[in-house]
Amino acid sequence: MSNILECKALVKRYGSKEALGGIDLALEPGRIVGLLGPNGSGKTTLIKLACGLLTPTGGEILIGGEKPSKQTNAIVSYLPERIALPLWMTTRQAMDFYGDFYADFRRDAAEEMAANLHLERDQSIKTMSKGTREKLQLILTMSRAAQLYLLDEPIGGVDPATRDYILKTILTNYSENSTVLISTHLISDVEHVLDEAVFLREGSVMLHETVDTIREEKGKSVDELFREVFAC
Amino acid sequence: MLGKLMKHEFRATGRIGAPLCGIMLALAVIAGMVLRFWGGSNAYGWWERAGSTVIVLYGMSVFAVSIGIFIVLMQHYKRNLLGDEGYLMRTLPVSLHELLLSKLFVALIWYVAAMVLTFLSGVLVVFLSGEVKLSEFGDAMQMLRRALSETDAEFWIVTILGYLGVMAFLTLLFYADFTMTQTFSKHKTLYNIMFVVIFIVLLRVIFGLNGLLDASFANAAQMPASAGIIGGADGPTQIYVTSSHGSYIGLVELYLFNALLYFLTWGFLKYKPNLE
Repeated sequence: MSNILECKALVKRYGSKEALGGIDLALEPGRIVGLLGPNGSGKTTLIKLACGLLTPTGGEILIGGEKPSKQTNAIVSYLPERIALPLWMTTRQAMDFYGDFYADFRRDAAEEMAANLHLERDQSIKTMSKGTREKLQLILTMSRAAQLYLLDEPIGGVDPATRDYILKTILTNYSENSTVLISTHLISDVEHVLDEAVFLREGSVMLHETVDTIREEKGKSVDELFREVFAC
Repeated sequence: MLGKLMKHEFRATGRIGAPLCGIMLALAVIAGMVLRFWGGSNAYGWWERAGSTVIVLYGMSVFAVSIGIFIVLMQHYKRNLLGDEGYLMRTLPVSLHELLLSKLFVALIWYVAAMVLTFLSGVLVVFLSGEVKLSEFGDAMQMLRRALSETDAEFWIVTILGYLGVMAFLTLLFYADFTMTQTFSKHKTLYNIMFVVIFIVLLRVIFGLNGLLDASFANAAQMPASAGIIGGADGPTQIYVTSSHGSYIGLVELYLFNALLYFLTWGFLKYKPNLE
């Protein structure tokens, strides 16, 4: 099965600081993968490289066999860690925007999720709380029938009840052939939805295993293993 | 996709640009009416103060439309491609060329619209003030139409291309400036000023505008009706004022420089994509 995301000796430096130091990583379609690591381990850098928001210093990153480009952007649904929606837009206008640019945008799914989360269609994003803005951004991201979802801290800024809804949304809105890469610190919250876990430390892949393997071979949950490996 | 990008550009910039133009036209109507009644009544006191205030406000609105729209467009560029919105815009399934061109085309359309509306507001003031009668206004329009039809088509082509070239230059100058400055983490204001100065010096020195344009200015001086439409006598903004051979060279130079600024902006966005 061809990989949806592949990194080959991927290096990214910011000046003299090395954020990623020659990563090799391959993700197959149909998996939910946790990208886990402490602050500054290179999680966001890796996701930005996959979206084409950064260019590699060395090596290469491929999405569906191609370098990041407008073609790969059409099959990648990206949730940035910050609010990227123009604040002047309303919920409805933001959906119009996604509908205009993404052929795989499912308007009905977005409307349904917005209704479930009590988002008003004509409320401007500017007047929404931080949590509500994050919900809207996640709804738009997950309403696409993309091949690869890149979610950078999707549950960081929301309350536990919404967190559960978001995780349920992720599980119910991705197709069997899609891959979801979730970067987060809140491992215990996402662990039950993960198929695989990737541990990043100082720009290197420390571990890439299925969650079942971690549990069977190490006799620990992903959260426990993470706390052990990254203990201060 | 370019059309869709332009549609959303108009939505984003029109939120401020359209009300600015609307206010200017409304103030033009009020100023025209005030001039009509105030002029004939020898009124003093409150009416005089209100009248002069409206006229001053109209003058300010003309200034706000000219400068305000430019500022709105530049701020939108920064926020949309270099700020947080860049995480959305730069991961759309569109090329960087489409992103940049949509912004440039929409900016040029706004400049032309602002110029036409400013002219119309002036006509409104004059017409409504009663200084010019309807028949005189019709005569003036006919004279203008006759003058336009008698003017060499070549002159208009050069004038329009020159105007668009100059406005594109101003826009691309700041696009390149903001984009290059974004790659630095400190002293951004200093780099902002420095890049603008460098680009202007480059425009004048590398393309030898002083020497080449002086020749076209000399030609322009023989055509006073067409000179001084945009700026002073020693700037690149003058290159279109005449359809002489010199002005064609100047136009080509201006568009080449615009292409340089465009590709600088594109290159920095592509290879140094440094979002906030």
